[in-house]
Amino acid sequence: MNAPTDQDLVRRSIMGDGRAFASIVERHTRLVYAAVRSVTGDNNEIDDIVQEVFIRIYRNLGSFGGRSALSTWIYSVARNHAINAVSRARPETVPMESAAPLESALPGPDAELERREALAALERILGGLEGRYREVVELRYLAERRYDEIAELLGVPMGTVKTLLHRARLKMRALLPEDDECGVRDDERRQAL
Amino acid sequence: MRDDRRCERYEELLPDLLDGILPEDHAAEVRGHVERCDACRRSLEALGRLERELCRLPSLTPDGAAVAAAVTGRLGLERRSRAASLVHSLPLERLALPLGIAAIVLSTFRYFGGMAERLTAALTSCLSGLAGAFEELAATSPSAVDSSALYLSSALILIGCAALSLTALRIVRR
Ligand SMILES: [Zn+2]
Repeated sequence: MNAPTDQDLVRRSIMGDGRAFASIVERHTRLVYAAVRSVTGDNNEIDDIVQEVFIRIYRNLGSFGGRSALSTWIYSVARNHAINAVSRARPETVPMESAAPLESALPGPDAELERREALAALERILGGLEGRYREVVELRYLAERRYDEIAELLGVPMGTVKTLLHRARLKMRALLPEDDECGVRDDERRQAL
Repeated sequence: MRDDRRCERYEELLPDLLDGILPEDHAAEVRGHVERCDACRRSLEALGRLERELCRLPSLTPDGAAVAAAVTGRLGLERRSRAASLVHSLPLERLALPLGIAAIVLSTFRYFGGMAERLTAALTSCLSGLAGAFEELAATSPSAVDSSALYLSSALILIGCAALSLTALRIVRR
């Protein structure tokens, strides 16, 4: 049997089929993380923001007209929500409904600590990218989208995507830590010979 | 060895080389230069390292199933999902209306026509397979046909009402 199309899943979700909506979430999780991360950077509230995005998507499925691809619509909802979440002044507002725990994603406190450290290390490289540069990098590496898909999501020509990614890589390379990887040591070894 | 102007040009091509999107003759030329030039080799290695770092991003992100479970939990969708998908798996949507109308038409035959023959005729045209059995039964025992027709039409009325209210519910929810 063929996998259901996005349109099928939307229709069934509107009728209250929770499993259909779960499939929509699974298909677009990385895309929404990419959209949110490109706005907020690495952030402790990111899981919560991503869940809020999907809740908003569920409540607005009826207004998705199918004129664009579902992923394009979801991407723009996610970015808009992330922009609002960042601009909302958090400290004075009531604490928001907290994110439901992501059980299978969190094998244990040690693994979670390691994950957070790895993300913080990556943020030191990615954090220097602004606007579209970060967007393209998140879409390419986190959401694992092809150049043509990124072009469609951003509404720009594919050549622009290549240029943005190219410049982003050069910027990030300048921020790479020099000492902690085998690549550098191999190079030094070769030079020492 | 470093020739800044040439190196700049090659460095520009390194990301495409890593991506594997450089035409082969071009790629060979860049690889040839990288072999001889320490600065460009270091640059290529740094880009490779960057690539490996960035490729960790998906594995550091919660997987879709966990996010889906959390979101449907927050929306209170899990309890409804089984019933909803069961309903969806039956072709009720398409069958509801014709089934409802057929059921009511058949049951009026039973009550207003009042005759087993007419019911049998209606069944012949609607459900020819079932009708064969009915006619056989009618020949042997007319009263059995009458009482089984009563059961059948009551069951059909129930199915018809259920089907019609399901259709009405769908229209209202839309
Ligand atoms: Zn060089």
